[in-house]
Amino acid sequence: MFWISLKNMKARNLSRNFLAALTLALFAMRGFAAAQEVPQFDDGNRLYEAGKFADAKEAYGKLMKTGPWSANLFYNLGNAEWKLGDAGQAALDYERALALRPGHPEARTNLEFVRNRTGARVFARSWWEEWLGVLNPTAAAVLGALCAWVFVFCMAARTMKPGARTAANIVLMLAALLGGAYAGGAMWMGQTAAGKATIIAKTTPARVAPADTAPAADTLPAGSEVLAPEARGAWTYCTLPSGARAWVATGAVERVALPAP
Amino acid sequence: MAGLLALVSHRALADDVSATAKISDAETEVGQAVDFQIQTTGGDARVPENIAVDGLSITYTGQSTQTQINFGTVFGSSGSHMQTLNTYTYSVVPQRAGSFTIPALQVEVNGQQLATKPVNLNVGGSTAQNSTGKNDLYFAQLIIPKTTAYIGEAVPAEIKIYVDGRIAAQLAEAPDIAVDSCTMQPLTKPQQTQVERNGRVYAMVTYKTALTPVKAGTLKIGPVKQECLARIPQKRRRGGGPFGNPMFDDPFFDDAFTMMGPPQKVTIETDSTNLEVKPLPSTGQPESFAGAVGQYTMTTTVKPTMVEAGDPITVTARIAGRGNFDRVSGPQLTDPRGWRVYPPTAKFSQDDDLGISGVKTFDMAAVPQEGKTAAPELKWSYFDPDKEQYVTLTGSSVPIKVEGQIAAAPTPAISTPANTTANAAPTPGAPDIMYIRADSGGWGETFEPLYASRVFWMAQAVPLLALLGFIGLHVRAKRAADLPARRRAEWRREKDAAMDAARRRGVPEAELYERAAWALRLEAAAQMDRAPDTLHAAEVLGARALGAETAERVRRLFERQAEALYAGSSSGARPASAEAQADVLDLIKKYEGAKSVS
Repeated sequence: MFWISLKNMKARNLSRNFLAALTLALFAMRGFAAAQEVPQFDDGNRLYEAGKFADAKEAYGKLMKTGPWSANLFYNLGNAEWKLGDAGQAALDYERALALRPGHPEARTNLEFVRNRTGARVFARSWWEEWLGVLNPTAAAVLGALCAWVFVFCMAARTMKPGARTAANIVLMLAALLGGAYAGGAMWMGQTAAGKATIIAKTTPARVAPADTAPAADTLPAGSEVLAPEARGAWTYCTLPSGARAWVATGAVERVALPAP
Repeated sequence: MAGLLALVSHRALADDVSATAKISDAETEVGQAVDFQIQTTGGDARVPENIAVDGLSITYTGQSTQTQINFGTVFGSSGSHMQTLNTYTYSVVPQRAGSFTIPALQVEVNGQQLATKPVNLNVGGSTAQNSTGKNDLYFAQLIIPKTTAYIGEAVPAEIKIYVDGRIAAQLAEAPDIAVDSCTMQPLTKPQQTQVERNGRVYAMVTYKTALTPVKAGTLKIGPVKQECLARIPQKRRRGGGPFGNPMFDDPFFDDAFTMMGPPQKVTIETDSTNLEVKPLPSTGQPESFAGAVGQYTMTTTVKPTMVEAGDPITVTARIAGRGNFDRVSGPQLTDPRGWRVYPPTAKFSQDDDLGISGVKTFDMAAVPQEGKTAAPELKWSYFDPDKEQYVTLTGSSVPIKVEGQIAAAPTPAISTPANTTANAAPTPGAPDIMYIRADSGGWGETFEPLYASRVFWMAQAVPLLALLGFIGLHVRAKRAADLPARRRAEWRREKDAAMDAARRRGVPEAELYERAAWALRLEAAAQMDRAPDTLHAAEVLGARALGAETAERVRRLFERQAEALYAGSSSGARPASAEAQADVLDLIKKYEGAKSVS
């Protein structure tokens, strides 16, 4: 069908057909991915439902090491960890679920619950940071590319076809510009989030120097956020929610973003 | 002339060398400058730069040279004699009253060592002298409010520098304080005010600091020395006045004609003072004492007040008062059992310039290991130098609610990199997390952003190709729309080429008619938008409104072209005459100029 339309299309319909085809392809790919069967995930779910949280965590953990990943995998893993009393690791995996899908409602709720229980410290976010964080970086990249091409095709049409210089064309270009700006902001937010890490130890002193005897700059409960962690052996240098830079034990902090399995 | 200069030079070299010292006035008053001069003859001299006399401030102000040529008998021989007199001037400002002697000074003149004679100066005390016989133009005080202190006690100190309001003084950076066996806080920024003392107006500069003795015994503090650059006013000496008019001796003119002396470096110095330093009592020293000396109070707060065992609470202790805050460390727990405590963070907010008064706040994270009904009680000790005893402060007991129990063994007070595993269990029955998701929600997600992958950028080739295709199709369509115009342009170029060939000298007759007929066909084809090789002679004739004669000539042209082409006439090979060429070219011009017939 797509081939037929290509064969018959005129130049003015090219961009419209291309965008429609791209959207269809994305949905098709997503549908294929969603339909994929991963038995380890179901095994973990069954173990969790049976109250065997340690076994469920092991099943989810294996899948986490081998892949494929999904936001729900990390969300369920976080639940198992919480049930086992590991608040810091649970908060970390909820953060991972949200990094993959920022709109994940259960992960957001549970993360807030865990942080309230531990008294975790987090970075203050403004309304626009929250707004930009709604879109995950992958969706932002697709939106950004789509908007960029819409803009380019509209511009090309305006240049080459005087008949295309309509109000609708201008509205479409403006929409593409706004969408592109939002996508750029969301990608920037994603970049910042990639440098985020979570305190997984119960209560971690952040010190002004990498030594147990150094004065404490702050005390970070489990689930607290830190930024831009730079590991230096047993100690990691990072930015605390207070804005100060300090050292925490490397074993007490873990990055949210994981390298591909 | 040259001989005269040589003679003068010869005489000058033969001068005697001498050095004498004199003073402009042998009697003066405190603060009134007089000039002290060393005069030398016989060549360049080296005079001392600094002359030290206790009670006199002597500053070198410059040199002058005078040359005299004397005519007459010198050493028994007649002729001219040249003498050079160098005068080195110093400004002498008495700082106190008394009799002073500027000693004999060593002067080197033309390589010879000479000595001046001592010079006496009597200084009266009427202008500026205080009861102690010290200088009243500028002086300083070191004020320490105590004579005894304990080791570690912060003792405030104040330095006040007074400079007569008529002196233009520029103080050096900060005074130098001679002090040993104690630490000193950095001096505060200088505060300048005007004060009146003994009927005189002074500019007063105040510095503050705090001294903390570190050793028992008698501690000598001071003297404090402040260096400054001062221009001291010089009163006009009476007995003459300007222009020798006695009218100017009137006291009215004292201030009006006061002159500022040259800038001179002066040192303003305080007396030293003693501080008796006592050691802290060794008996009765509390366990929680860490060296704080002063007067303090302590308050404690706790938040949150309702937690589960294993969840940290923050205990805040505020220690306020006056003393050596640099030795104020965090309080201790009265009973640390059942608590895991982390080193506190400290924040000091000072109330004064010296940092010996204020509030130091300690935030301490404490993790209950079992059920508790009250926050940990804090204790903290200091030594009160006024009461001369140790004091232990205890924070009030804040009620809190801690539920649950941690099964883990007691852990050390300070966590280390190895001790980092969280272990808090949710309480049964309490609000809990949301349930797991049974669906995967879509596999294949990754933390690597899509725009960082190569596939994403390769995929952009698809819309790029589409865009290029779109542009290509547009260009092709545009070109198709322009085909007739391009074809006409091509025919015009062909016609121009045919005309050029027809104009060529010695062109064969057959070729001349062939080219001319082709030029007419191209002209008609451009008008009719038809291929030129499909046009007959009649169609070419019909395309333009021609006169009968011109039409006949065109017809004949086509006939000759046909003869040359089909009849095989041998005459076609011979060169065309110039008349024939001109006739053909004229015909084409007429055809071009004729009106088109649609």
